[in-house]
Amino acid sequence: MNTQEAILSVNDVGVRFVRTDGTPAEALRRVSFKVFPGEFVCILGRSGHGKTTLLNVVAGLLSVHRGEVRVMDRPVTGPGADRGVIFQQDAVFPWMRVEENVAFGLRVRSVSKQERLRIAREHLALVNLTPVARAWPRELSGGMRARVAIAAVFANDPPILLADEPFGSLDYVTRRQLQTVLHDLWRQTGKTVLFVTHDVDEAMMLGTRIIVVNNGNIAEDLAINLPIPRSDDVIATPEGLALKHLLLHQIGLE
Amino acid sequence: MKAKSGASNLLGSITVLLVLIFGWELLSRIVTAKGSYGEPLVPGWGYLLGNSLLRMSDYWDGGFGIPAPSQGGPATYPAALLALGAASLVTFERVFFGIAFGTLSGVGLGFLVATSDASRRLIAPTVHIVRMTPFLAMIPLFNLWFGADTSGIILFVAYGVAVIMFIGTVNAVRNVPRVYFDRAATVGASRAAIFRHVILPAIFPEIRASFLLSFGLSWSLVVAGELLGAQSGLGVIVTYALQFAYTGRVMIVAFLFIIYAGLSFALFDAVSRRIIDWHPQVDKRPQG
Repeated sequence: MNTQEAILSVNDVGVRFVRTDGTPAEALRRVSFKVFPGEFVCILGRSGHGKTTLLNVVAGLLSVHRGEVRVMDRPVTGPGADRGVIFQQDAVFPWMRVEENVAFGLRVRSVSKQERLRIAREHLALVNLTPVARAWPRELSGGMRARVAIAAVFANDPPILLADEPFGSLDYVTRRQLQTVLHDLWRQTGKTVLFVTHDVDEAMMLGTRIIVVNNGNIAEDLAINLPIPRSDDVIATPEGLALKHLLLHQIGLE
Repeated sequence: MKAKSGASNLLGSITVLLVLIFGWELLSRIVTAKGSYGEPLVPGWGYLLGNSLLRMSDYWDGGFGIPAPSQGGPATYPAALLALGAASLVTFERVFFGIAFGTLSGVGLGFLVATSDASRRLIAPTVHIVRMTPFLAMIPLFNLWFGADTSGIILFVAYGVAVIMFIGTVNAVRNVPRVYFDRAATVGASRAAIFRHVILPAIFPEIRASFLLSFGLSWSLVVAGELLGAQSGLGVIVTYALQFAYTGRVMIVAFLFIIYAGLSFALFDAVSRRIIDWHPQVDKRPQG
């Protein structure tokens, strides 16, 4: 059991939408869990079962109709720089050069130009993008733009990092490379990560803990004790396969 | 490969232009009909650059040591060019201030409305009506309310430009992807920072397109305004020329408008293109 104080707690949170035809829909029912510093929590579930809703609530981009989210023991009332987000869609600003994108968070928080460009270049180096620091985003591939998004969120140095299927639209090899990039940065910085995915393999590759969301409820909350860093071999062990089987069952595969 | 096709394109354009010029001359020799005051309805180039251009000196009021024909002076090319220049300046002034006021008020109002869903819904039907109203149908009202001369015409041009810029701004802000706002908010950007670093750059390509559109329109509006009751400007020359069926003079002013509109368009296009260097759809080649 973790004796540390939780950095993030989701207490009895429910989110309701009203569809355009007027009928209500419950995206989250009564969800509670705590996240401790340094954890890499994967939120696993199928599309439309509330994963993204949960992440948006934690990010402060969506309001709840019941319960509350607390970050470092303060209630979340809106978005803030203490929770960095890597979005599902491409959110790199096309009108800023790559390094300006990475420095954007520092800029709006009034860090001097020299200092923020130094930090931006440092983070671009961490994701192997130094040669394209002065390029426009349109000149980059989707995978490179995802690296920009990772560099940007780490440059802003939030204690909590939220990722919403950030690699969903990328090809398999690129996705695997970026998982490694993100995992390495997480280990180096010790940040707390909440990572939404529908991909069981991805969750098993990255998470120190997997929370399965099914139909707006938490179906399972598992600590993953597989060694880190992980390889395909780890998942191919009897223990790994049993876990995969359990997770697939929990997200709805009979 | 590319340079070659560019050169042959230029050659093609020049050929077309030459064909048109010679075709016009040919037509002027075939069609010899004359207007009620004896001027040819299809004037050839010699007539256009001779008689028609020279007679523009009729509109010269004198000054710079060049006597006005209306005061007994001879019709000279300097007087003709000065007359056209003076009338052009008056028209430029109206277009310039019309665009300036129209853009400021249209974009400003657009921001006010676009930033709130409630206000957008509130004014949506009104905007629709205004958008559907033919601009030219409003000229008589502008004449009545603001006078038929400079101030009325400026306000009329401003009105047309404002409608286009307003609609352009509202649509542009609405088209900014939600995720850009979300990203800015989650790194701690204030509303002012979001406006400056997200909304303004994100909408610029669309605003620029609206501006180019209103640029072209403003030349039409200023002519329309000047045709109806103005006392000065290029449109007034056309009005007089029309009364006497001076086709050549009408054509000269029409050419001037084509040149002015084309030049102003090209100038703004070239200047503003640099600002949207980042845009994925920027076509690096000059237009036209």
